[in-house]
Amino acid sequence: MDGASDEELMLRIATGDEPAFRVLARRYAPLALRLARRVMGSSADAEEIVQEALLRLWVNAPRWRPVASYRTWFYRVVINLCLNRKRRAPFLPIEEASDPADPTPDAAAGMERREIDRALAAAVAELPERQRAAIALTYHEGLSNAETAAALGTSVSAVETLLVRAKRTLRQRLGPMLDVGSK
Amino acid sequence: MTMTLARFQHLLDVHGADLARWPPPQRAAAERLLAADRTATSALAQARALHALIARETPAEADATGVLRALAARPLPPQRRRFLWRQWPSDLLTFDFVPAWPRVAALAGVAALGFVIGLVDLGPMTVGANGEDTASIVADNDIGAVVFAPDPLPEAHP
Repeated sequence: MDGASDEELMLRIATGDEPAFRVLARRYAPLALRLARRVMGSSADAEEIVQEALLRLWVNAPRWRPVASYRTWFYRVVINLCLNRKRRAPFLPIEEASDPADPTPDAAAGMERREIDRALAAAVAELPERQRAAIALTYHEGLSNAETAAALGTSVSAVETLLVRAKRTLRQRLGPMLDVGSK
Repeated sequence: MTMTLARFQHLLDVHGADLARWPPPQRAAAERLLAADRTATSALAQARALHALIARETPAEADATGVLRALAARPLPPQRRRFLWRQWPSDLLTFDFVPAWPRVAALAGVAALGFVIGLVDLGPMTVGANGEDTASIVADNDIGAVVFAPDPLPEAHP
């Protein structure tokens, strides 16, 4: 069953096939968790959102229709849950976010890298949610602008506007680092 | 087609710093601009730096074990089933009308069959037993009598 396509698994899940659901959950939970973390900025919230998204997948599977890519549909569920939660709760201050692990042996280089990561995380965290979601879907999930539009439930031109605004903001906030990076 | 620097910057934001992923006409115009304008080259370098920076922003590898364990720990809720009597509007909306030619051909066939049957049956009906034209009999009668009289066309009978 592990080799079955997403759509085949969804058709099985629609008939109440629990093992098929477990296979699809194993396949998509890490991707959904990564996406939710980027949009929410909090691991705890992201885990709750992914659980909720997977339960919705199970509950609504009989109503799912294979008119769109499963991946895009599931990303849309995750993004909608993230945006709904964002409307209810304030964003976690960046100081509370944990530092990413640093494998660099050199302490100075590691410190500089952490500084850049922190500045980048702060700049991304200050973007509006939909801009952050557009960046996460296109840069990190590798979706095209059209797929991102489907996942966000909007038009391609609206996604392009989100990307332009997000990158303009990031350029303004990360200007000196970009000069360093472009050398 | 010439491209302005502002347009180039906009397209960098829309399509990214990898020119290979741009639509071909815009890519060609961008390459001409890059060959002629150093500011464009600098904008491309900055876009690549931003791309690299965003791409390296990798939070700790997503470990979904906790999520999967939590899901396995409790029974799954009941699924929402589809009811046939409720789904007909959405079925109608999502009905695939393409390709339409078999249905059009079926409709045309039925129309042609009706036409042929009409031609075959019309002959005996348009000429009475005595050779008179029933169409002119109908035309000569008052239309109210044709509609409401119990036997509106007595002349048409043999």
